[in-house]
Amino acid sequence: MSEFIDIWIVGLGKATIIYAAPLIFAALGGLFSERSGIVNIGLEGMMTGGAFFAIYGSDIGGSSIVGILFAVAAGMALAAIHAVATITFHADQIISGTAIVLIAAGLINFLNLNLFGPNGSPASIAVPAKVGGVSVLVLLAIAAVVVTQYVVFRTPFGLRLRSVGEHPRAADTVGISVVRYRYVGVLVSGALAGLGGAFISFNVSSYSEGMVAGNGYIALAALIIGKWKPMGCVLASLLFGLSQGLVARVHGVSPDLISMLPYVITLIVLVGFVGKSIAPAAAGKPYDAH
Amino acid sequence: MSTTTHTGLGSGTSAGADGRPILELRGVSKRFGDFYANKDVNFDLRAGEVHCLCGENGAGKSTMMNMLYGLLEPTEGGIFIDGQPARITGPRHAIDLGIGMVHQHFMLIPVFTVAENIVLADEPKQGMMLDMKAGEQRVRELSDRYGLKVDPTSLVQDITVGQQQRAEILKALYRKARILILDEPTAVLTPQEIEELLNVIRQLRDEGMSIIMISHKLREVLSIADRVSVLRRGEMVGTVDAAGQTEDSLARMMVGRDVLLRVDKTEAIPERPVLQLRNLWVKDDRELDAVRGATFEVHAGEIVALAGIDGNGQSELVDAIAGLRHSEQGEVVLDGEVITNLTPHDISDAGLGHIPEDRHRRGIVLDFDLRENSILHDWDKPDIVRFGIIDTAASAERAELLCTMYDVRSGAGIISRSGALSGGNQQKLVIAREIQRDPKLLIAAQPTRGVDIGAIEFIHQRLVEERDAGTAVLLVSLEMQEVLSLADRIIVIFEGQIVAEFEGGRVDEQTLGKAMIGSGGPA
Amino acid sequence: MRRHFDPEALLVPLLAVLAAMLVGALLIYGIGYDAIYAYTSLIEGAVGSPSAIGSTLLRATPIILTGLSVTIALRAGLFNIGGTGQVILGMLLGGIVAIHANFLPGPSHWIFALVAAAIGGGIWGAIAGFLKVARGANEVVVTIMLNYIAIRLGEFLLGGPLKEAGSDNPASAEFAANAKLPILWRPDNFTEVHAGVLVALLVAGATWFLIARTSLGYQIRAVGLQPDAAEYGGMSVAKVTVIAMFLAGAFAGLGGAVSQLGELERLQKSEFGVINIGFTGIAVALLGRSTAIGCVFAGLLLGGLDSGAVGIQNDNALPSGVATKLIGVIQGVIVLFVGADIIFRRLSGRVMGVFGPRAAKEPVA
Repeated sequence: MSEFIDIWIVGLGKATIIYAAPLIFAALGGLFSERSGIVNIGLEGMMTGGAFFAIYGSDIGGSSIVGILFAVAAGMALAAIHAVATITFHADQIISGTAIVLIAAGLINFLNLNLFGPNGSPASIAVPAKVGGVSVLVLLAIAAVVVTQYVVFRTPFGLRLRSVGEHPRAADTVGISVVRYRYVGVLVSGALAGLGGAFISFNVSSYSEGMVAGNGYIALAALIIGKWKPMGCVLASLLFGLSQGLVARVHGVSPDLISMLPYVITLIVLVGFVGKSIAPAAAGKPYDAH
Repeated sequence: MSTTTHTGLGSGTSAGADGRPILELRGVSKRFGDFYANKDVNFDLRAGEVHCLCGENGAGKSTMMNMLYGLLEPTEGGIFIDGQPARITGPRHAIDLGIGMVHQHFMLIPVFTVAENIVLADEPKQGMMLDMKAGEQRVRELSDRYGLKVDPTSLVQDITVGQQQRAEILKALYRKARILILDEPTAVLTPQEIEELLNVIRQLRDEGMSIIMISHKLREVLSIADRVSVLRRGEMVGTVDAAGQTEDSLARMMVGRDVLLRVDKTEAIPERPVLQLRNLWVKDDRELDAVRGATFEVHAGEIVALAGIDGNGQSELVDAIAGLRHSEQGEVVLDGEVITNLTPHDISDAGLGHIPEDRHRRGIVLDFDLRENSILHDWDKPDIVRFGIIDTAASAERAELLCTMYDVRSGAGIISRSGALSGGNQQKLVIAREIQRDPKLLIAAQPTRGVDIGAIEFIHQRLVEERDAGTAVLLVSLEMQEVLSLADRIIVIFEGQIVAEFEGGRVDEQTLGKAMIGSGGPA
Repeated sequence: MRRHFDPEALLVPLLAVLAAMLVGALLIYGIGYDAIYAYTSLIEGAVGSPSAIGSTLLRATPIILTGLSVTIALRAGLFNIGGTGQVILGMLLGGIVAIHANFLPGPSHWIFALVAAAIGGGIWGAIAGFLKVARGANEVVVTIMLNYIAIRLGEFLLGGPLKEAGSDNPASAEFAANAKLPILWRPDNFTEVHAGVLVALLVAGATWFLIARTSLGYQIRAVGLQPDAAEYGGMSVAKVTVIAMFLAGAFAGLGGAVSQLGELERLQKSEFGVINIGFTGIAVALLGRSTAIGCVFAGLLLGGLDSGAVGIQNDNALPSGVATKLIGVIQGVIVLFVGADIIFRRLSGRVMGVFGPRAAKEPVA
């Protein structure tokens, strides 16, 4: 009985949180970006940047705080490229996002090889403390949810951010700078995605190529399923976290087959929920003032 | 000092205006490429007056207002506020100068509440938080004070167009506007809403607001304006006191000549019914009933005009006939064949020619060349396509034919990108294509919108020729002149219902106008 | 249908490639290496010898096909980011036919294997098209999920049902000899240029013909440019969307199968997780300006970069493993610059007016 509780309640709960936390960070990031009208499929790349630089920062700074700051900065730097391309130069947002993923994958692994060498990061990396096997960064994720909820829905900044994502021309005619708010939205999304990536690499105390493994895209799906609301993102992320947790605990079925589960669930929920879910009206469209 | 040219009758000051110009345009021009949207325009707005700006579509009214609101910058000339030169750099600057604007297409965010829309960018705060309670309170106060009834907590997408407009006016009042610009505010309103709006405007004026109202509905202009300015093809024709003017005198200023567009045509000889609508019900995009039980017929050899104010169900009706929108109830019969809810493809093959109201969205593919747009309905027809392969020689021949017969002019001939053609030439291409298909029924939805004068006459003549060739023509038009000069029979649609029918040539503008706003006329 | 030649169509991709190479050079200098030497090795590795050219052709072949896949979808107004999944389905179905359909005589075996690959990829693509038109599901997220599902599916099949009997390796039995693509050219003992090159060129030609000359291509373009006008013209936007995604998937499926049947002996579990020709296809399509002919040249160029990375490796011009990452960055930067091509317009408009006054092209009123 106690074994059952250990595996299926405590273990699964822990696994769910560990898998869900990076998704929550990244989905909230997507929320800031898309609420401002910029679709961000570059989240995957920004998470990759965060994952690597968290480890690198910890290594050279000797402190996980430095690692976290590095991860945030890396996510924001990649986001800045996306922002310049899409907001200033009106690049197609999907194309630019794809470019971010490609650039991040190439650049981060280029840096990984050159900074850490072929054997990867050293074994003794300072990572944030863990409580019962779960990183305290979880607290930061919870804080991010609360803060996002308040900032986006309870402050003048949030009202303006949402206005440029819904009807940029209307925002423009009352004097809101569409460009400025969109830049902020995209940069914040980079910072949060960077944190999501940091959570993944800190969890195993090292960076390895391909470790983000589609989490950025699943976060994007969580954002859609969560209807662009913070609590919705949390619930959708927990659902995927749970399905990931189950993957490791189901026996008797091929692990390859069962590891399909999170993606299949994402697809089913996405297809089932779509139609009831309405994106910010101007998301995906460049805005040309006047 | 007024630089206005007075061509009108009187020049006395009106009641409520103290005569001091609060806003002036001096010699303002706005050029796009070689095209002058505004040329050497002089205009002044006195404190506490309602100044109406009239002009036909494309006369340059919106350009002028966009310059006042900082959305466009004048190419030449200057804008003066309280006698001081003002280079208005953007909407924020305009707002700071006390200018408020109610755009023709409302600048409201559908998923925000009325109050959120109103306070946006000037939000009441409590610490760092948004204080929507205070915002709603402030909106309620303004709303009560000016009789602009609207619930501040409702979502904009859930309220009527009239209420949305009130929210737009409240937006300006909330920002303490002294000058209010209303761009065709009555175009989308019901008659009751228009009356309420005019009362609000009078009240605002009496409280000292200076108001510019753009309109081409002359009756409203005469009932509300202190002074009237008229633009024609980008130039200011003149400014006159409203008192002493008549609809005719203003109309003359607007069009420049004493014209009713005349079309040479003989008496129609209607034959068998080609289009029969029986109790047709159609919903709009918001799932509201847009067409409510329409029943009428169009016969071979006659032009029937469907007249009405924009947004009374005309577009939905046409879309339903063409199969582009689902009919909820009732029947559409084309030459004896029931076509209700067939695909656009099958209805087109059954004999419908359709000149759509929005040629940029539907009528042509802007990035296609003229050859490709000439065969928009023919991608499966054996004279153009064989074994799935397009006969490019045949499509080129078709395009040449259409361009020659309808005088479509383009930079590089039939390989020109269609989007690069002028509006008139694009429209001629669409009309040529639709007529050349030899339809039994030709629907011409606003066939002359955004088309220059020369092309208008050409298009009108073609429609009459098509009628004489035995086609049933259904003309949908918002232009009363067009309806009166072309139609053999006029049916009037109001709020989705057919409310009146007239013989062409036996009805005057006043009677028709009354019917279009739902008040009277022989049904 | 033929149009006037537009110099911009060539200039933007060229500038994008130059800009990307410049970024790459900065990275090389950043880690203290000689960019000139590295790029010389790269060019040598791409076109410096018959075997380099052969290797470039081999690498270009699959990405020309995935590029055509992205192109046909883009023409219908869809962004096919699902190349990976479609490639895998092509590999699996093509592979199964290649292993098991021994009754097929002579060259018909490899031809049928390719047809099966096209159908497999096509169905995977059509699923995304169907979900879009039937449920309004965003094709970008759907195709990405389908990618991961396909990867797991491939790994599952090679770990079990498709695994060679009696073997411990997670790999299938060998392809039948007849199912292997014929070899066209052997520049050296290690390089065998197979018939997949011709398949890619054939599909490129067919795609050009489809887009430019056929009724289906006309419908695809109309739906992609202006769905409302297509509907008005009597086309079924839903049908065209599903067909376009089927074709996109079929091309990608072929892309997976040609390398498989041309260069390898069997299906291997370890392959699926590292497939990137789907994503490279996006770069090919964008660089080729969504034209069939453009895809051929863009595919050769990016294939050359890939092959050149091996040249860098062999010359030790960069540390081990670094060259492929560098090429990844270069590809990403190319996509970015082609996507944001207005950058060049603004720069050139300001500096030298290469493109002429943009505003003058469109009438205002």
